[in-house]
Amino acid sequence: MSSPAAVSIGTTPTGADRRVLLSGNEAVAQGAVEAGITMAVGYPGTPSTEILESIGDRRDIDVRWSPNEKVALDVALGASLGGARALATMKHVGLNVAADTFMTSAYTGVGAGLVIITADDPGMHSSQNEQDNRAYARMAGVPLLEPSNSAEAREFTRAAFELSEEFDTPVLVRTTTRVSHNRGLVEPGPRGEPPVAGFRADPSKYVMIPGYARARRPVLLERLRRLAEYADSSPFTQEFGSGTDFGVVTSGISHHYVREALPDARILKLGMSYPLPMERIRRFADSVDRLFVVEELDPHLENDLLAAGIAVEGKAFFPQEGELDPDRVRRGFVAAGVLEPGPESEPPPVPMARPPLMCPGCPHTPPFLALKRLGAVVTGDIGCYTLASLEPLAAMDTCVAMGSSIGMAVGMAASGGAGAPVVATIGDSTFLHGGVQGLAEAVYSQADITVLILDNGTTAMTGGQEHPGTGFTLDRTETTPVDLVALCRALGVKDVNVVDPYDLAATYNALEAAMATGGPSVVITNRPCVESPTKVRDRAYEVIADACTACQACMTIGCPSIVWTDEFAEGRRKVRIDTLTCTGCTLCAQICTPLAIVPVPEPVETGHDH
Amino acid sequence: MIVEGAPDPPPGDPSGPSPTCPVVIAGVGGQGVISLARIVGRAAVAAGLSARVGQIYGLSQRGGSVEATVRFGPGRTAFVGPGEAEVVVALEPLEAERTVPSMSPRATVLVNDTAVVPTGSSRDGGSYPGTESILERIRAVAARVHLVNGTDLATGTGDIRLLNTVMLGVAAGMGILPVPTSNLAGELERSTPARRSSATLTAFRVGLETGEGICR
Repeated sequence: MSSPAAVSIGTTPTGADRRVLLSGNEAVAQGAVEAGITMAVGYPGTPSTEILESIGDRRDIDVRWSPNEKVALDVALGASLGGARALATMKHVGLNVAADTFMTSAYTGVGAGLVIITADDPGMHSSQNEQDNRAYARMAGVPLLEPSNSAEAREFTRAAFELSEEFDTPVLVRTTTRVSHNRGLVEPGPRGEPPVAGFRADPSKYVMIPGYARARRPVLLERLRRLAEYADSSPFTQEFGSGTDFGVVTSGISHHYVREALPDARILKLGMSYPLPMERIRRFADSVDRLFVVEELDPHLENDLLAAGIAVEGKAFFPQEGELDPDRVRRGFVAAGVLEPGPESEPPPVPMARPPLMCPGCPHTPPFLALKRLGAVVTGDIGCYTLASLEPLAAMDTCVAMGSSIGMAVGMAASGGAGAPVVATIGDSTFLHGGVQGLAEAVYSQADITVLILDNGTTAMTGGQEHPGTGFTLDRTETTPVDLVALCRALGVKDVNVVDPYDLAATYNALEAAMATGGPSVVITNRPCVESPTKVRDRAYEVIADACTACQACMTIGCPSIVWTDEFAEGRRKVRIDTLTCTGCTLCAQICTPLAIVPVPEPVETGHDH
Repeated sequence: MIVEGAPDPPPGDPSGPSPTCPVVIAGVGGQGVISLARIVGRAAVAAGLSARVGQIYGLSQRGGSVEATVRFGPGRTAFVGPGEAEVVVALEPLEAERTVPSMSPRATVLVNDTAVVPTGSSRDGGSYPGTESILERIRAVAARVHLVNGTDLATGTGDIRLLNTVMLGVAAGMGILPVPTSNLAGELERSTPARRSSATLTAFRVGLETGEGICR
């Protein structure tokens, strides 16, 4: 039987105030460093990306990007079996990709501590869905910790490694965007000594053939029973406040929202929210007249409590979609009759929207102008180029999951209902993440599709991370890049062409030719991202006002550097170019029929780094 | 195991800032909203204050709206609820308007005067509200609003990217942040690469002088 003392949370060194302001992501990394990890691995994804970046310059930790989250977890599990404490990081949908390994790692258990961070995104600030990954803990049978702020992000991550070894299980730590991105005070501790224990072969534990896996299943269930006992008495479970009228069970950042809305309320805060400390919850429930659960997204806690026969109220008052905040929590308690309604004011009119855009000079823009003109059905993917689905480009028809563009194009073409040639568009990082197998399918089925690989040499959407195609590792060490052309040819694509996306006519012609080819074809664009790893700034262009006919063709690009003026021609507004932000990509000049867009006479000092 | 803090105290003197002095910083992706909030937060910690910084980034950085929040002293989150913001620093007028619901009646609002018209939002670009109408809406809610020629001042220092630093200087010069100016300057210096540190401090000083000239 494990003793709660096995896990040392709350043992922050005291003394002089050494506290620093860390984001939750930085704090997770700090906790892992203190736990003595020797390996940290993941795939970039908002809101998780900065965990690895914040320790990327450490020489004593192997910090790396993997092609995708499944590979990252495989690498981390392998390191753990080798006896090294390992951290795997990903956003919530990344755990879908890693789920195969994750589910069975609950059977194998670990060598040294293995902790998986899932950074969920309630409110979908930068995500395609708001799935609640607490469900994964239950499905896998793995303990789940939910830090509520930066201080806990550090402490829970560090403690998760101890739990992992104590109970021989991977541990899932779930943050949410507000926990990951917000900054709070953290008192950092010293780097832990990496305990690399070495691999001990044990096929009955690590080779999950049915015969061995059947024997591991009861081990997993017994482990969960012990973990539930541990949760009942562990420092992860905390009580606050006083009173018997009502009590609130909550976890994660919702706990702070409840305490801001109801500073004195009785609260049972679950730092470990799977398996649940059900005896502790039952005692808490018995001590109050009315019990609430306040949780973001799905009613996990609420349903578990109801299933255990505990009367509880939750989603009747607190929304299941979007983020909570102190105000929404307050409104929920007003609806429940716990709080008096406050003054309600008329919501002010919403100001005009400012949708995100692709950057000035983005090499992703021209191919979408071409695809729109070519009338293709475009299956899209996840990256900056997904913005091509919005006005004014409006040149993308689908976007679902990392790598989905290619398989969906195959199915769309095979349906016979596309009504136009089908083109899959996918970035280089996304292609290596989950697109390669889709292309194998396209070759295998000889699908009549074109795959446009938008190779900008980085993982741009998340801020410019390296990947296996860039030729550099996370710490900017040179390595062998995956050769995309050779890879596509090796998969069996005969028609592979590389094109300069800044040459609109060439891009149009390459796509038109590829779309006319039977079977799978690939077009690869080859201009780097204008923001990362280096800022691309060429001589800016300007509009000759007298020559501008206000045809507004350049406005179909959606370039932030092209802006309206107060001059008119035939009732239409003319444009100008903001030479401070123009990168000189020349795209607008290529489509300006009156030839009114020209390079500025002298190279201007743009004030940007080169 | 948790950084404990009492809940925010109820508002006291309605004319002065509360101990938590909720701050909202708003702008367009790329204007430096997130780094401005981080600098204010770190400077507060360096000054021995407690601080929490709220920020969301990702897709919004692609030229979309960006907002960050800072709260000082006791409290649990960086969340600034409806009617709570006592200081608003907006790097763009339309983004200032977007923060109106969070402004407290005693809020001091700084608005950089240079509009960034959303691209492609309208084929004739005509629906961007006039700055005066935006100020009017802010005046209806907040105690004080000041239009600042921040973009001109930043351009005058030779680097338009220092707009956020200029605006921080203005806020510091007006004394509306509970963080000592010396700590703000110190944090700016610490977080700026050496080759740009003198330009940054110049921009901060230009802002300070402007702020000192504005009557609170």
